[in-house]
Amino acid sequence: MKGVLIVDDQVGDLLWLLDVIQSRGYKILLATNEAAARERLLAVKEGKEAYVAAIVDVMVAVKDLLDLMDLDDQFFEESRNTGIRLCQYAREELHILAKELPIACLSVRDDHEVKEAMRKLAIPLYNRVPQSPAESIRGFVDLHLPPLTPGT
Amino acid sequence: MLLVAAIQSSVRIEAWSRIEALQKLARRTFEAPEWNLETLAQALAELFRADAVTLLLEEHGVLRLSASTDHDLGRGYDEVTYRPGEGLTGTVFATGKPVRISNTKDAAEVERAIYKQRSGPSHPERDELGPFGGAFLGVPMLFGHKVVGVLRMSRRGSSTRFTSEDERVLQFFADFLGAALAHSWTLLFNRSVFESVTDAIIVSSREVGGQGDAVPRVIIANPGALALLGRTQTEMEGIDAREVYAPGEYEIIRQSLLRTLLSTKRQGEHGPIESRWKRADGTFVPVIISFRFLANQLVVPNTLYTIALARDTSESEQLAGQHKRLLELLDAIEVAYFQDDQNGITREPTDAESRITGYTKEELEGLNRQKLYPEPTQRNRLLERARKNQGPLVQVVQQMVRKDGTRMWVEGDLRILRDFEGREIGVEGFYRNVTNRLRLQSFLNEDTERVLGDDELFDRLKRNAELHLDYMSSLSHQLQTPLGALIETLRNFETGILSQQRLMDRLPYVIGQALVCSQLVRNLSYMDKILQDEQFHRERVSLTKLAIETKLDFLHLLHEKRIDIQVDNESLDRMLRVQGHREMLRQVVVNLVDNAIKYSIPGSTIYIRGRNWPEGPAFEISNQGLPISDKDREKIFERGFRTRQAYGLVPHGTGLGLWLVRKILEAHDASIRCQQVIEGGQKRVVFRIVFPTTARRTS
Repeated sequence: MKGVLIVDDQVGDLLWLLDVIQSRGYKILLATNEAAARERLLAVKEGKEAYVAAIVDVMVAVKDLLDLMDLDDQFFEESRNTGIRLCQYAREELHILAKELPIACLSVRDDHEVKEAMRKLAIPLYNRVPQSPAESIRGFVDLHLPPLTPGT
Repeated sequence: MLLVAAIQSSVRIEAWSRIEALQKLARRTFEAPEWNLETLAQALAELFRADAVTLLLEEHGVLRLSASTDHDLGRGYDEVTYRPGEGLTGTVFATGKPVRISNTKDAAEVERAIYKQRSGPSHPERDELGPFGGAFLGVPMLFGHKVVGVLRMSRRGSSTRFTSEDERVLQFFADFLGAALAHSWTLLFNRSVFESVTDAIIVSSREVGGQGDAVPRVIIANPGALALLGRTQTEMEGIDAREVYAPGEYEIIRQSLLRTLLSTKRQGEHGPIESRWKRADGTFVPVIISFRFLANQLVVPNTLYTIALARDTSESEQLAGQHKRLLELLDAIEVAYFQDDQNGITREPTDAESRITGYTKEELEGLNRQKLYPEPTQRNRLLERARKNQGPLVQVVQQMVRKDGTRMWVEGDLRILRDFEGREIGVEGFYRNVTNRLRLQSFLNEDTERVLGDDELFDRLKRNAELHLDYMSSLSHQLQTPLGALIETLRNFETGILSQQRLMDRLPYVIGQALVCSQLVRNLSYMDKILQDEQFHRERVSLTKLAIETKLDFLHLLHEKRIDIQVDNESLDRMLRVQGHREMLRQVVVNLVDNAIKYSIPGSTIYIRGRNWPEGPAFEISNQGLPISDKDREKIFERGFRTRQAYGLVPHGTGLGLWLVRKILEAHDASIRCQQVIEGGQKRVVFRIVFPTTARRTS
């Protein structure tokens, strides 16, 4: 079964999207923080894992809570841009091409910093609360995740 | 007869010609800038054909050598002094009468002349042949009845004796000399005054008692006066003294002095009087003048000398002007200047202080400043601090009381005033009302022990505004996310992606998302109430009920994160009976539970219970999760503050939840602290809310 990588720490708010994707016959793999998502992307690069597409929240948690507990006080990361960093990691460091792994970003942010970063990476940015169908992640799903017929 | 008459006539002519010569000698002597008494003695010796002439002057009751034709007299160890009655010279000194004898070596003649015996002159003049012991003539120099000196002359034994005409002529000269010498001391004294450049002295004279009003004329002005007026001595001498003063000032001073003189008949100095002198360039200089008067009644009509001793006060006037301008400036920026005496009585009330305190300026003058403080000892404590500080107290923030009894916060400087000997004579300082400023600082969660500078305050306000914008943006995002999820879930249902059965499964999440939105909106509403200091209705609130209801609201999240909440009903009910605003306290519980869920380890348990602490009954909520460092534990209640770990775990937080919790609790007179404890081998973060014990009693 083909899988879709979802990177988000508030999965409760994305249950509807999981319903959409699952209704098309895809399975979901969830990474709830940046560190976990990096491992998945590296696995893709190394050919150990494969996903039909990835959907990344721009402001996902940096690490798992248990990892954060052991961090000393010096630790500080720009947590507002974790999703951007992940996309840059995939495209600019691991050189995972769009045809290998289509990525979409999801955010409530629509500021210049996010838009510009996504434009440079040629990764579509969708609003979590779309005002029109064109802004909806459903368009990305329709394009990259066609319904699978049983057995595919 | 004719011969006698001729002799007498020639004697008279000789006497007159000698007097004329003496007059010339006197003029020459006294008109010289420096008197030369040696030359005088020499001239007298020639006029009287004396072999020796000596001048002796009185000082402290003893006659001392002044000048002599014998330049060796008094040289070495031979100090020439005569006490009253000592020898011929001392006898002239003691009696004030002349002594004239033909031979001083003749003991019988000496005894006849002065009724005393002696072995020889004690300080005789000498020449190469030895001491003089011939004819002697000594006359007193008188100033009134006082002997101010003795003038004596000698001739050798072989010379002719001194005549009674010699005696009369010499006495005439000695009297004149005595008066002049006595006067010279006064002049010497005056000269030292005139030479003073620091003070300005002008002496003027005016005839009095004559016909009409005589013009007062300047006789002399010292260098100080000349410098002050920008004139030369020549320009000053003889000018109308009234022209020295600004127009009209002379007459005012004259009238004032006349009144003083008539009322007190006081001798010596009069004044000081403030006036203005006119400079050569037409400008005026402020002066403060003391006056002395001298009347010469020996001449007709009498002459009145006026000695005006003036001091330039333009500098002090400038300082006073600066002081006044400074006060006006302080007034304009609402800063009150004050000065009081050592008893705390206000000496210099100002408009600004009047506006700030509500007292009129008249009420302030004489007001004991202790009344301006809430506590009677506060002023003394401040002064004690200033003494210990050994300098001014700067930017002191304290409370003061207005006339109407209301209190205000002021910030100001204060210093103890001391006289030249270091004694305390009062206190001065300035202050401004900073009540609203401190209120603003408190609103911005800033320290209120000191008043922030404008730059600091601007930074804080800017930061606050940015926080607010961040908050609005963050709030908007947090509202949008669950709302968007709700809409999309319903759209899935509408398009058939979500079956009815799946929708039923999803409903707890859907409701949970709606509740999250509702919680966020309520936070906004209560934040507004708290910030506006709005009064609210209080009722008895069961925290147990609030805790259980909150747990039910968060079930979907608890399920998602596999977290359990255990509410200890019994301890909460037993220990906590709180009076307050139910919905605001609900928000406190909701925010704390929301936090605990966000930062707890999946699979852990959150405990909510009541505890009794010495400081009061407490509501405690503890969780096992993200630790909070010691230094962050106080800060987490500040507006907009989030720990770095919290940012890492939940990037989209507002940093306002705990701040609002603290604000709501403060409005309930309760307090909150965060601690880290170890329970059952686990590190747990505890939030402890201590309610006032009075709340319990009230209930």
